Amino acid sequence: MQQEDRLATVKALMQGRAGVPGAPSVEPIEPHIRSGATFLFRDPLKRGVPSDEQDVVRRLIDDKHYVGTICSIWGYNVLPERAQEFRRWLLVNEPRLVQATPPGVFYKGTYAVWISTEKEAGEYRTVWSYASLQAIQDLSEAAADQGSTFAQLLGELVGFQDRRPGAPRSQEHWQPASTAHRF
Amino acid sequence: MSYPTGCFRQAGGLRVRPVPELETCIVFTSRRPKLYMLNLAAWLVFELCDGRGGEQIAADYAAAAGADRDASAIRAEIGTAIERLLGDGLIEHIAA
Repeated sequence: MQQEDRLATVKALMQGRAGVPGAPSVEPIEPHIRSGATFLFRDPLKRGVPSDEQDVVRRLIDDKHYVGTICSIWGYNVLPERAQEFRRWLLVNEPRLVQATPPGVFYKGTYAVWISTEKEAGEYRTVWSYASLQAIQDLSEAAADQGSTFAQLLGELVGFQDRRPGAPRSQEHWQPASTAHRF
Repeated sequence: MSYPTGCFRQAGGLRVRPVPELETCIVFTSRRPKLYMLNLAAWLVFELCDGRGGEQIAADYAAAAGADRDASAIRAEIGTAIERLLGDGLIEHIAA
């Protein structure tokens, strides 16, 4: 896009907005490299893990001591003016979300972070666990099925996230340390 | 608020990527590798730096962004923005 086209674009945006624009702001962007690469992933209940170790993990899962064998945690903020709406949404819809997840995908709740050392990870965490790697793919497929209750609920949940540039966000993937292979 | 005589233009070696859906523009300064995020107002000032002088930039900015606002406040904003864009190497000043 040439400069004159960009000027036309920014003028149109400026004229189309309501209210007084904020003062000009130029902020440097500091890239963060967020690869972990400490552990090789392996499913604790699949080949490569001795059967006696699998038994321990399976028992801890069945007894609901472990969150799961494969977990992901989404961190994000919700704008303060939407916090009450978000809380009410969770009260109504978390039970529905639990029921609507595809087989092998488990919604483990959304949590408010009341103390953390991580400033940029977000004030909320949504925790998922998966019965297998295939289940991660199943979650993506179900999320894309726009006619499904799951896609609708997930869209509403994610819709509360503060998506503005620079807003705190994070994503982590966990596996039980008891069967993790560190290199 | 007065502006230096002469005009302003965008510096060479920039990579400019508008993100209109977020009302921002991302600029990469390849000569001094760094990324910058400009909000809508700064983006407008940046694009007006196409050989115009400071007074013209202020007038055109006011026409696009703030016809009902206090002229001195707008001039102060533009002065600060130009100083910042110059300091970060996104624009350059051409003396008269």
